[in-house]
Amino acid sequence: MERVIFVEVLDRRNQASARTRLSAFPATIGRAYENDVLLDDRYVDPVHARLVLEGDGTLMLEDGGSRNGIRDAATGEPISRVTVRSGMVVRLGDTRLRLVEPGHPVPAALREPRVGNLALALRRPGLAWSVVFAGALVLAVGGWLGSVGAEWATELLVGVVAAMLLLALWAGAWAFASRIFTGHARFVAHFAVAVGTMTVVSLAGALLGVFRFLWPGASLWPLLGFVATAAVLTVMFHSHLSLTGALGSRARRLAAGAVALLLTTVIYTDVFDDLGGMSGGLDYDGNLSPVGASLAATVSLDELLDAADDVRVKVDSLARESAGK
Amino acid sequence: MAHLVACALFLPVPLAAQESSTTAAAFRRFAERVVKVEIAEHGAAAKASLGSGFFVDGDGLLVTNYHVVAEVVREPGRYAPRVVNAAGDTLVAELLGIDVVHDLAVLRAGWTPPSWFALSNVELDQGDRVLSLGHPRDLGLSIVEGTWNGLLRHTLYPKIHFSGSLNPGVSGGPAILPDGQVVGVNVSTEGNEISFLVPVDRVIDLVDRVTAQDYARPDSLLTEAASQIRAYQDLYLNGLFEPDVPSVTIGRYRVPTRPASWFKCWGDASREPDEPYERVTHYCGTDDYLYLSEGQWTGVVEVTHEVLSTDELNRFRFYTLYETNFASGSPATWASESEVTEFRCTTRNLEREGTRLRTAICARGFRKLPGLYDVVVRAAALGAPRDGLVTSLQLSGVTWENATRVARNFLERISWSE
Repeated sequence: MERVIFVEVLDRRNQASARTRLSAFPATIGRAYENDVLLDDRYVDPVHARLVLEGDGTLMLEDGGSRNGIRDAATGEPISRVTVRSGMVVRLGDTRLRLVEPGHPVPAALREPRVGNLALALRRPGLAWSVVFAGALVLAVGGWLGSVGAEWATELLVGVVAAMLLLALWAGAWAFASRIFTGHARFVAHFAVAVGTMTVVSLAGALLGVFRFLWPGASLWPLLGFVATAAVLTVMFHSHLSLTGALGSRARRLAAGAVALLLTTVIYTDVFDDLGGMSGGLDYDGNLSPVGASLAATVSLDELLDAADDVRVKVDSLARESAGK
Repeated sequence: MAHLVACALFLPVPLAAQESSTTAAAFRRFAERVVKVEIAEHGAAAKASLGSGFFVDGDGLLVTNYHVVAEVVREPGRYAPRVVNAAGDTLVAELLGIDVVHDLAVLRAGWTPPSWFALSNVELDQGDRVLSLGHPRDLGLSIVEGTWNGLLRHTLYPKIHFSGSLNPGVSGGPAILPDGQVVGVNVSTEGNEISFLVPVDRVIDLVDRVTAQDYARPDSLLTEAASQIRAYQDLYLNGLFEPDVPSVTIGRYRVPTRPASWFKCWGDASREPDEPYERVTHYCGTDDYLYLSEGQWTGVVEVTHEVLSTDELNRFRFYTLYETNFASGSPATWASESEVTEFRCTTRNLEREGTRLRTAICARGFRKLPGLYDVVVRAAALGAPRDGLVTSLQLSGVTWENATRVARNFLERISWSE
């Protein structure tokens, strides 16, 4: 029976970066080009180690008299001669090798992400630039609606450019991280994630504003706003992290969710309002809509004053809380 | 040069000498009737705040301002009043009664003053010379000359316009005629010799009330202050924005104005040639602020109407402007967090007689005077593509019943043609 062994060179994440199938023994491992397994490592001898088949069929790994020797990758113990077991990991110089027999078990395949990974799609520059331009357009339209002074054109231009620069700065920081982890900066993809997030937030905010205008007083809106913000931010952080290649997929999801939740909580609580020591401003729903006024839910004066009575109940309980302190 | 100096010194001398002699005589004669009122925290040796006061009977009864002793009212366990007489003796004093609306308080010091001011109503003419006594900035008892300029118009309760200089510390001191008749009590200033006095008839009312046989000092003067504010607002909010209120038409909008004689109204319009919209504003408000504490003034009512319109902007751009305007409301009175709660709001689309008004009602509660609120009603007219009305009503220190009654009247008085 033919004896076969695979020699795998492992990278820092324990993934095989090179793999050699050996079926003729003895076989040699080293830096010289005559070896069966070739290692590009300055701390590895020209012929560093040998794989030898014994008469009883046992495969042995032995040191070929190298300067730095063979070491157990886990313990660092020097090894001069050892029986090869499938899956064992040894270190030669700076290189870790895994020796695997053909019958070695491998885990089942991972399920492909059900939703196509947004970040991966944005690696295509055409799509990424489309997102950026669409976002800039939305920003410009929003700016045009919002600036009515005499200098509106200048304000609009400055506003769009400033916003894009800020987003580019944000994307640049992520691109720097990507460059470190994967060797690819993927700036345009990060930029598209940032611009896309801003666009979705603006559009969703406008939509929520219309809902709030049409059905004021529904207790659903703040909750919906919170959930939507947290979701959009989670997707954003997850996309950035995916592009940087940092963390495992599970850790990435957890980290993105946690940071997004924290940020949303900060945005939605009165953390910033309470800094002045003064009673805060009026936090009422000031949404107005240029269309749909005739569709809006309305109340009578009596119903309005009934609704206001809830306000009295709330401030009375606030006043009681402080009296109890 | 010598000539100039001679002129400056010589010419005015006869008049000045004559005036200062009577002022000096008044000071010599009446100084012993005026005291320094100090508010001290238990445990702290030095005073926490300072004002003036004056004796009104032979048993050590003293008049000062409410705002001088406000801390004693609010935290009687922590602060106590004491008075320093002309001889420099510090006397223990007890706070007997207050009139928070007119900013007056009555104390009793355990000491028999050698002389005191007898209170009676006085008739004055505009321009009459009035002398004000007090302890400005703890610099020692001072006397200031000024003139009586009558009662202020457009105030709910009477205040004397005194053209003279009042400074911090003289609050609660007497303003008198050269013969010693009390005209009023020093209370506040707007700077540049525009100062205000509480008229003597208010003082007489309070002193009579406190010295009546059946008068019992309230257990809690804070509760007393709250009930005085309630009684006061029942007076000033009564009939506000009833159907007979005058109205003003701005563009298509008909809105109430000048709800009572003590309101001051202002109006303005801005039509900048390079701005694509027009803004007309109309404001009515009262000046009758009540001092409650260092962290809170109250008692004010304000109405603001603002009409925005455009020929140039499309409805989407106009509504961005309109929405920004509507959403930028802020409270009319300042108050610290220790005095009031946060504001809470509710917003609805109000439909009335075929018109729609986006209406927000916000309120905050008084922490130390339960049952009193600051209330803001802010509304925007809906339905028109290129013009809109933003209107707001601000009430401070009001009961909930009064707030909702006035808010209802106010909203019922707003109308427009489609």
